Amino acid sequence: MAKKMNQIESKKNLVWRRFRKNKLAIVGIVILGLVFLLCGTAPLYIDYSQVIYQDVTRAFVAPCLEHPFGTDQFGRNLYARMLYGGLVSIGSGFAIVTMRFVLGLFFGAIAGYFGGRIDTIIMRIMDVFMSVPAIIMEMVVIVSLGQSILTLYIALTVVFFPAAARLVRATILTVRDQEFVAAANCYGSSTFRIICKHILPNGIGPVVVDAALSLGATILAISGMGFIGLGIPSPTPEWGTILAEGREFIRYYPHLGIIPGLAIGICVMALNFIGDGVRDALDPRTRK
Amino acid sequence: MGKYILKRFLMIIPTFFLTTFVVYGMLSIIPGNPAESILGIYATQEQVDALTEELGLNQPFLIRYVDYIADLFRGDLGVSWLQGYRISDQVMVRLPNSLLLAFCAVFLTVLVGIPVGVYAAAKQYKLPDKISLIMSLIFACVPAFWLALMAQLLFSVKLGWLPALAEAKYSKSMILPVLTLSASAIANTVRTTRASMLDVLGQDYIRTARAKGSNRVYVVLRHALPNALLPVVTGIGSSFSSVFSGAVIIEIVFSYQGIGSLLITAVRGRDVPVVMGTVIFVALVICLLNLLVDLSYACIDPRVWQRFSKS
Repeated sequence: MAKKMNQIESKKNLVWRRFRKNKLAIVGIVILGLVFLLCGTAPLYIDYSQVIYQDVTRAFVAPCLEHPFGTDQFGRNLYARMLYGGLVSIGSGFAIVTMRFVLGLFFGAIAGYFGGRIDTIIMRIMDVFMSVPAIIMEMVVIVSLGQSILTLYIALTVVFFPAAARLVRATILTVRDQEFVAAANCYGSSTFRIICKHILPNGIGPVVVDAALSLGATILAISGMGFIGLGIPSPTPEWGTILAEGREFIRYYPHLGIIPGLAIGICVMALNFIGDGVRDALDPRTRK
Repeated sequence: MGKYILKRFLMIIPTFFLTTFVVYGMLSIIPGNPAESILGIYATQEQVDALTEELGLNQPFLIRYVDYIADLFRGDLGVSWLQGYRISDQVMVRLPNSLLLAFCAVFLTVLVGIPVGVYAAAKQYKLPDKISLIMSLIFACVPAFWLALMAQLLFSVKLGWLPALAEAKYSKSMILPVLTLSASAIANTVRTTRASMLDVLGQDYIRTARAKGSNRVYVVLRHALPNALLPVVTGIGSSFSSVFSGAVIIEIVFSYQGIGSLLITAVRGRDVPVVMGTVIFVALVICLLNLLVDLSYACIDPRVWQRFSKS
């Protein structure tokens, strides 16, 4: 791609070029792409019935040609369960990160723009959610609302959206007092319009990066809840639940424990590489 | 300095009460009558009514909340719905165990994480730096429970070096739980320390110190490290919370008699008073620990409380 002389490079191109130079980030994208490809095309050639089909006569088979990852204690094909579980785990992660982003945006914007008493009240409630450790708060939410996929999403969103709200609020505070906001107010823009059109676009960058970076931690949290037994209920495959179910048997059949854990670890690592790469690309700082 | 400490101390009181209020509120929206689920489906209506009266479940929410707080200050956390034991007894036995586990993990984090981070920053781009980066990446990304299971598998089952379950408190069987609990905290501390040290080492006053001939180690330890510590202390403060989170899972994997396993049994059985009691105590501990972290900012960076006393 030859650049013409005097061509002003857009910020997006600059960021993309810096990102491309980061080898780890590219490795992350490749790994993540592979995972998406494998899990995403799975429904095309593996029917969901294979995921729940139990054949107890062929339980605990070690990895072989017919069952690439072996089978679990009910004789279910671990490969199919892992592929569909990837869809569930990563898909849930995306859903939760989005919900968290929207909620954090909403509350942070209100708290940051209006200030005063509303700000104090909202921030105090955010402090409450941040003062109880994450897993414990999630458990409280699941006890109150019952255990299901939806309540798991709600629990994980509620526990982590205060951090996003804080970030949004800080961003809004820096932009709120600038003159173009006062000007917009002067000529009669509604509050909603000011927030959406003027304030948010100027500060949204770090918030989006933070949201994307938290996808890895979210997947870890989902599998953590699955491991405790409060996550996505069986037989829906999810990497944490698969690990929890196989836990009693890993002494004699280690493949039941090694494979799900490795999958989670590799995905989160790829996401961390990408996240670090994005952060460095958006804000490079020269080091010694 | 004293005024700052007092003000910070007073600030945790409203936060703590608000936390208890929110958690109590969340736990009381559970549908259905707990008395029915305790007594089972063969209980008569009179028995259900009697138990409801006894547990005080038919009173309005605010009265129940105030009663609960009043009992809390008298040291009475209530009685478990499922097994009938006094909750405060169990909490008093298990909370020190969990605190021991958490403190050992944080202690290990500080002991290992900061020196490794400093060393990695000092030898940037050389082999020690790359190795520490790779190791911290692995330990930060892998789920803690998986690490615990694999450690059990490797060190107890295959090699037989360490016990698989945590039996006695101050013994070899604590090594694996503490190690696996602190793994991700150590990884994050190493990364934060390294980044912070690199920032500080690029400053002009470091270059001046080296230019006037100071020993390299002296410069790193005496000039760079104290200035680099502030983000690291923040990181360690937030790792308290994540260590408590992780402790819940580690306690299950290693069958450790701590507050986390109590909580999980209670959550699975919908035993609301036990959940409430454990959450309150954990929240209290975290509040106090955050206070300690804030106070240590004041020790490290005098500007924190000087600004405060001037305003």
